[in-house]
Amino acid sequence: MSQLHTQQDGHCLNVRIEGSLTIADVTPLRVAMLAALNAPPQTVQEVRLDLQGVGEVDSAGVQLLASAAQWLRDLHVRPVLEGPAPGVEQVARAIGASDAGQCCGFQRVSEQGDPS
Amino acid sequence: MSIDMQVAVNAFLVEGRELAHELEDGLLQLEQGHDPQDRDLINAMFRAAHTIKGSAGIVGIDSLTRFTHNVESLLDRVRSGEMSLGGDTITRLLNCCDHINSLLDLAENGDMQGQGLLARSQELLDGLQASMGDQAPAPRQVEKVPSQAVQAGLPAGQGFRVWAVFGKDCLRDGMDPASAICYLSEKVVIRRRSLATSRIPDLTRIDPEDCWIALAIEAETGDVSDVRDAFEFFREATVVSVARLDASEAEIRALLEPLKAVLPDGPPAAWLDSGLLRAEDWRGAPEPTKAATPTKSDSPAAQLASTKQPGSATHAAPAAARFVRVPADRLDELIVQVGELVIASAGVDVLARETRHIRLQEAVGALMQLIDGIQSGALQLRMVPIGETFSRFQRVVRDVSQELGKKIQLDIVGGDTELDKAMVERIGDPLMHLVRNAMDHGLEPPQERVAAGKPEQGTLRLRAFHDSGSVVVEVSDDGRGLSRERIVAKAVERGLIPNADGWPDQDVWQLIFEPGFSTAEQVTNLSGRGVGMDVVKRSIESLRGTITLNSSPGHGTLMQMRLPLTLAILDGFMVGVGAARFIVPLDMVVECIELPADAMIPDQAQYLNLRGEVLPYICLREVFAIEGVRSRRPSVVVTRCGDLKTGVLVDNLHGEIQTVIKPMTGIFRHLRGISGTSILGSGDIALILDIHHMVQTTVERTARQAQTSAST
Repeated sequence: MSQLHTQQDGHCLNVRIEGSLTIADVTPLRVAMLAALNAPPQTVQEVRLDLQGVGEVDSAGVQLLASAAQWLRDLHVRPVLEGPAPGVEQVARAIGASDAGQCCGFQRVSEQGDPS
Repeated sequence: MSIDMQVAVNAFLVEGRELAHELEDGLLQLEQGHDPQDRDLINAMFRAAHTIKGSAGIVGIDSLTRFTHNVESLLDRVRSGEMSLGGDTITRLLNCCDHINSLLDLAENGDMQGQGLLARSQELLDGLQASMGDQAPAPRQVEKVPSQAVQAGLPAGQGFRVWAVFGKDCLRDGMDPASAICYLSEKVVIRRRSLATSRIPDLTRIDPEDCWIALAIEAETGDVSDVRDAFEFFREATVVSVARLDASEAEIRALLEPLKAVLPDGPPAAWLDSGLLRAEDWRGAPEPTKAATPTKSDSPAAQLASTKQPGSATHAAPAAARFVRVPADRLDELIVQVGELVIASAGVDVLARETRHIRLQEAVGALMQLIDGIQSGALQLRMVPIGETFSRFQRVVRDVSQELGKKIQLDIVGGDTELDKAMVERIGDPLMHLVRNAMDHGLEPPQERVAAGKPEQGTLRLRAFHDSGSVVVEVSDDGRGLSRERIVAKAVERGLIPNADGWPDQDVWQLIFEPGFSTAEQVTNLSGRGVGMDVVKRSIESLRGTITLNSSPGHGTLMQMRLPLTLAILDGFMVGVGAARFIVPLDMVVECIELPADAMIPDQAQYLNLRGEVLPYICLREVFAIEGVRSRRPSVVVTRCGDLKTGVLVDNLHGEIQTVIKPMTGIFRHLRGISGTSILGSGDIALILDIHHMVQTTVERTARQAQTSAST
């Protein structure tokens, strides 16, 4: 079971996912993500995703995040990963969806808080 | 055990037996000369063992999991080219198939640990170990088939590159690519990996439970068997190609071919950008065929690719998805219900006709047609091809021919002929008798065949076909045929006939159906005890079938069984005696005549004069002790049972009728002369006559009466 929280901060939309990110969660989570991210106000230029509260993850979860990142880029919104996400990292790394610069298509934030 | 688990166990007991049969079938094919390098066959056998092991573990049949693990290990060595399957090993594996069935039987009776067969398990496992020990690892295929070196026989530590496109349903099926890669990374050192993100639809279009993962990996250590192990459970829906790091361009291009079929939009950019795929290699790969069938290759790694089905919806669904497994008793219940529906609708039809209400009659007529269609459809559900029953004789023929020291080839023709499942189950035993008899008595030992100018190997043929609404099942051989002299001598010795002077061969052959008749000089554990052929004949007749025999000395014997398509309905001819109704199976009716006044032969009350032919008859009124006065113009239904013609004297003829058979149950089960009942549209009950038994009973009664009169 996962929950999605959003908060807009100027040009940035902060999105926090908590709970699990597995095949059992992806269908309702997709609906929730579409509702939260769909037609973001013109002012939103960046979506900052916080996955620190995510526990169990599988390939379906990583695939959903990659799908969301793809969609945001198509809308010219920058997808950014906020903070560490150890649960997601392990699975994303296994299937080649993670490297030094991004995780599941979301750009990593540098230590200074800027996208690397 | 929970109800759910019990359901799972029951389902596995069925599946396990099917898989064991599949494994056995593969072994028999190999033994009969099938290409031992056929990777499809070897892999199918391996998968059967693997699935038995895995499923047995899930449902808690530990004995089977432990045992089949060893079978699987041996087959794994075969498919990796480390050993080959020879005569002894095949025999041992066939015994293992038998043992798997035995362990399933034990599990069915609650013994999940196989306690009753521990010693046998160990004995067989020792045999398998001996087989594996006997054979030093065979040279790797790379050495035998240099052109496939790219995929085969990767020396440990040399590394490889993998391109994997996972099947669309693998996530739904509980198969997680990440788990497989994590497992792989425990065994090898993965240097690079790249996910083809462009393949993943965006959030508005994706069904998040579909799998869109396409992955390229480069490992600097490990070999192809590591990849095979990691991707084992993805085999049915995933395309994987593996190439050694020093593979040539041509080899890589050949390997990429199956991938092109599942990546129709071209090479994923992420693979190209990461350097895990070169554009020229992709371009150089041949265009996929229209059916997008992955290439076949003998090498283990290519096998990973070639056995997988692309996940695209345009490809045929897996065979399992086209069938629904339904318990047989549910089908039986459905057919009973449909039978009741037919009976009830016939009642409605009768009432509608009585009303003389045209529109009502038309409506009922339309309803009857629909019900007729439902009945045909329901019966069709229970029709199964006879081929599965036939193929089970492969093993029997193999074992028995080895036991007898004969060379026998089983030839199966018309295996797709369908007949009622209930019928298939009941002809198994008679068929077994006939097959064993043919092998034991009919087919000669090799030296005798050669001396007779025949091929050393004899042929036993099982053939089935539809003919005039019946199914004909034949067992034939090209053996020595029946010996008229020996049959006649034995019949005379047994007092069955005084002599056979003037008897046509056809009549002589029928003597072997007499109880206790056998000409076998040597009683074997197969046949020769004189029990069998009469039992076979009775079994076939109890199915409303007939059996005939033809033989040509020196050339062989043909046994032909003619059976109805189903046991559930009957095409009959209805007759009446007073108010009672009877049904004679239509295929036994030769003709119906009104009894001529001069037809009765004076002083021979049991015979009629039918156009100069003496026809024994049975009077139904007497047989069933029906009171009342005989009709002034009785009719005779002339029936044929085998070669015997018999008349049945009745009051009225009511014509043809298709009827649903209700079998005799309870205290009526053993009544002779009646094979079942049927409920008529009027609600009356009609008895279905068993003419054969009725004639036999009448003959016996008459003989007893004659004996009694003679003694007094």
